[in-house]
Amino acid sequence: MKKSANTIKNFIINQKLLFIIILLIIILSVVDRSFFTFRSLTSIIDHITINGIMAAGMTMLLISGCFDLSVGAVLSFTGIITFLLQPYGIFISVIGGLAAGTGIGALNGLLVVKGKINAFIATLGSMIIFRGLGLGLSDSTPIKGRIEGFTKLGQGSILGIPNPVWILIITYIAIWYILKYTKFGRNDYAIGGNVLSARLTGINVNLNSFLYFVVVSFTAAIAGLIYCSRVNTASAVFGPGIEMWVIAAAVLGGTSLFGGKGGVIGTIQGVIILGIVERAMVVFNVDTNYQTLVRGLVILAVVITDTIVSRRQEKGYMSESFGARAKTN
Amino acid sequence: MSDITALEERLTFKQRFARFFFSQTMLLIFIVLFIAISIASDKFLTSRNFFNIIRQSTVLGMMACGMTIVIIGKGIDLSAASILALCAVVNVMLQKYGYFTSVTTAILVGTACGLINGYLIGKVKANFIIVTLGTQILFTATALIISGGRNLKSRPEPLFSYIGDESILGIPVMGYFLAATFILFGILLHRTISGRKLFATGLNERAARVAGINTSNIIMTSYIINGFICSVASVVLTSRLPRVRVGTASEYLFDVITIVVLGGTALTGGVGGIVKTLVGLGIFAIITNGMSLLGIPYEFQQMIKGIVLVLAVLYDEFNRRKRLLY
Amino acid sequence: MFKKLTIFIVLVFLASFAFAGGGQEAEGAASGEKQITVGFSLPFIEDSPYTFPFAESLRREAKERNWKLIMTDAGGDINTQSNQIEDLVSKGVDGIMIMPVDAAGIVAVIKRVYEETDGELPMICSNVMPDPPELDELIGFAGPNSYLEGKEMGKYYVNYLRENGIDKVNYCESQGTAGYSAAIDRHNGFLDAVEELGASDMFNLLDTQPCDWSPDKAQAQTENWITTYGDKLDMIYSHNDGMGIGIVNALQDAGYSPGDVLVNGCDGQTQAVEYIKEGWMLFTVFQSPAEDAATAMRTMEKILGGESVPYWNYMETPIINGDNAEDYLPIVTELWEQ
Repeated sequence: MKKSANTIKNFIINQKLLFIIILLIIILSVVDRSFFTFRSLTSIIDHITINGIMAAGMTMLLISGCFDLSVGAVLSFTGIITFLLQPYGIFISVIGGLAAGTGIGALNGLLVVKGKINAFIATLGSMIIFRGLGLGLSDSTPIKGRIEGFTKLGQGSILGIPNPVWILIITYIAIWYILKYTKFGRNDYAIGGNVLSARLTGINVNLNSFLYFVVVSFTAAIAGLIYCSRVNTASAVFGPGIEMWVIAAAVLGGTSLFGGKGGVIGTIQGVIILGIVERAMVVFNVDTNYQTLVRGLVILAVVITDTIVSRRQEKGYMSESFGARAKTN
Repeated sequence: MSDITALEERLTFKQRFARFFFSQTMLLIFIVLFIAISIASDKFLTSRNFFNIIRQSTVLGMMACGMTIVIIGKGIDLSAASILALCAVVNVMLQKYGYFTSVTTAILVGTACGLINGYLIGKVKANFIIVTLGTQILFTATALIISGGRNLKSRPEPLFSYIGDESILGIPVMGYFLAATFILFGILLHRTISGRKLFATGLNERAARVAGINTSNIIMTSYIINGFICSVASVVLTSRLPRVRVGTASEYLFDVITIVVLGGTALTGGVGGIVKTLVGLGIFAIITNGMSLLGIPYEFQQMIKGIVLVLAVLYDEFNRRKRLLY
Repeated sequence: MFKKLTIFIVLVFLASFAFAGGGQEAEGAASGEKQITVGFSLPFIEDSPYTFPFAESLRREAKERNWKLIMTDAGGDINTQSNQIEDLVSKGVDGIMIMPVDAAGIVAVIKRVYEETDGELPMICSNVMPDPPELDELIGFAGPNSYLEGKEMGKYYVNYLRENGIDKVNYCESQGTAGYSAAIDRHNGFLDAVEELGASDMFNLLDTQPCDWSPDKAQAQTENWITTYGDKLDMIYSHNDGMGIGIVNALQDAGYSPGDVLVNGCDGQTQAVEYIKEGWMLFTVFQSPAEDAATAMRTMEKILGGESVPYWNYMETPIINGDNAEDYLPIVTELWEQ
């Protein structure tokens, strides 16, 4: 069956990624001994939590064959709503913020599933709308955090491990479990593989697809809470360009842009690799004029290889994309 | 089933009616908005304002033509704005060697960028999102490295700034450029065999190939043309602005895509047209101009643009489903 | 198959680092002495004519002192900047200079780093003040004072209007990017100065819009302002030269003469100074990025040398107007048009 072949392939990819990670750590430690300290290595994990959590949700959506460009807007919008609600107490502000962020996901889901709009356009549209709305609500000025306790989320730690890392671990375990052992997760792969077949198998494609968008936004909302609690500020311009980073991390981890395969185990390794790249730029003292280029090249290399791999599997067929599978009624 | 019907439209003269009917939905929206804004702001209907609109939308309009062609071929060029930026940088940096040299080089560079895109997508058959995303980063980085990140001063010779500043018969020269681009692309797309081949390719690549169309060439050409028109647009841009920045890229990109989609060209390819894009440009331009005239704060302008985009696409989908025989 | 994938990715990765890495290698530290390493965290490198001469000046200053300089580019994201600052600490630099992406957001990481290093690692802010401006964990600030600049600009306008017997102007404001402290400061500084001088009823604000420090946005916006307000428009208060230049462009296109509409700038860019000479712009504030960077480096040098420095290390930001434009022209030309 295709699925077990995928699992084996995923497993192999996993091993390769681990290999890359170890290789990178060795190279960087040789170049700069300060890289190999406990503080240095653990700080990498600390730094990737926000992107990592988002990537987990994005993985789920990618498997179903769609992607979401609005996650950055969700991040900043969640923060803004949360901080605006702070006068009403921490409980209400956090719940309100999460609800707002997840709500954007629901909107995206509706647009794509019911409105039959292309995922690209729909999420592009909501990104523009909610960045703009965020600017309006915050009066274009960053909002300062007023509840001291809120910073514990992003800056505190339990048993020596930073809270965001705990959240990262929980998120990944949860999504891993869902994808592997629940019907909801397996439907994901089915839909990503072939929408028509999935529908014929009795899967409620519309409902499932809708929920994947909600999941992505939910993880983005959580990421938004962590982000804003780390800097104790909320602003509509936070997280510029984060959506591409997150998608690239997932693709690097073995999740295909065309849907149907992938998994969070690969994603977390992809996230770690990209996190190491960021650190490496400081280690190697990469000239600032070139830092963008380096980020771009890495993302490009990652994604081109994914294409070549997927293409070989589909034997040269010019594939559908953008989640245009929604048109296959 | 529906594919063949749509294909027939493109090939028979009579079916222009269907196309016209289709574009009317957006045309309707345009007319409604036009009237609404005219009522809301008395400054809107002045000739000065119209010429402003023309000046402000020329670059976007030209890019939208190129993007239309690419999208009809079932693709997209996310690097379009970066090509614009790169060519502008090249142009300005070479101006000391003479206007003719700098402009020609810029256009060559832009076309070369289009060639890179076209080759990777058309011949190597890599995924167009990835490729153009990558080239976007590549071109932007190149522009950044060449210019060192700094603002470049454009020292236009009188001939050069002619495009940006002067008017012929009272209409800004830019307007002529815009019109020429639309007419040219309109002919190219709707009156040539290559144009029809493009539509066929966009609708169903396999079928087109089987029918004997060299789809990789067609697709490659569409990207090359886009690169070319973006470079020409960059010449217009640099003549209008005294300074060139690398950073203007991403906003332009979203705006251009919005314009094309607003016009009714579908991202799934095979459907669309230059006239539609013109309507889309019209809607976009008057909304932007109208909001500015009405003094709407910047934050809400963005929001409204996003909402208009989403609503327009929804409406378009709705109409499309009504039309096709499902 | 996947082996190729691995090798490919690793090769690209290494290649891009080999190609781009090694940024600032000093010409060999003096033997026996450990070379001083400083880190500078930039908010972004693109999108601004300011950061290029700024970065160049940083490199020059570092080279002169035989320091190793590590610069990071946060791409406009405060979280990335926080991470990069922590990375600099991990790398073991002797001092950190920060130009915050977000004034309020930078406080958290400064406090964190202070705690981690027991206050041993000196940090200063450059060009953008944190919010709140006075932090115990920060040694100090070096750079321009955007709020004061706004006030100077307001003062200049008030004085000019009074001297020329004009008692009322209708004006529009072209702001910097929404949410950025320099824009907020210059906006507030202007208004506060006007109020302090008792001139509030001289100024009638028609419209204020963020034009993102960008000439093309400002140009388009000015065209629309001209359309909407026509002759009513007397003055445009611009937060920087970039926008000021775009504004003048629009005025020229619309057939105005120099001085019909009062325009200003800030930064002291070459084109702006030329416009001042020609009478299109009334004045600008000279904020040299080179001087800005040098101030930061000088301050850090004093700190690392054990000297005590004041918290506030402002750089000079003189006003360039019709009287001294001629003198400044060669200076700015050399600075901006390297």
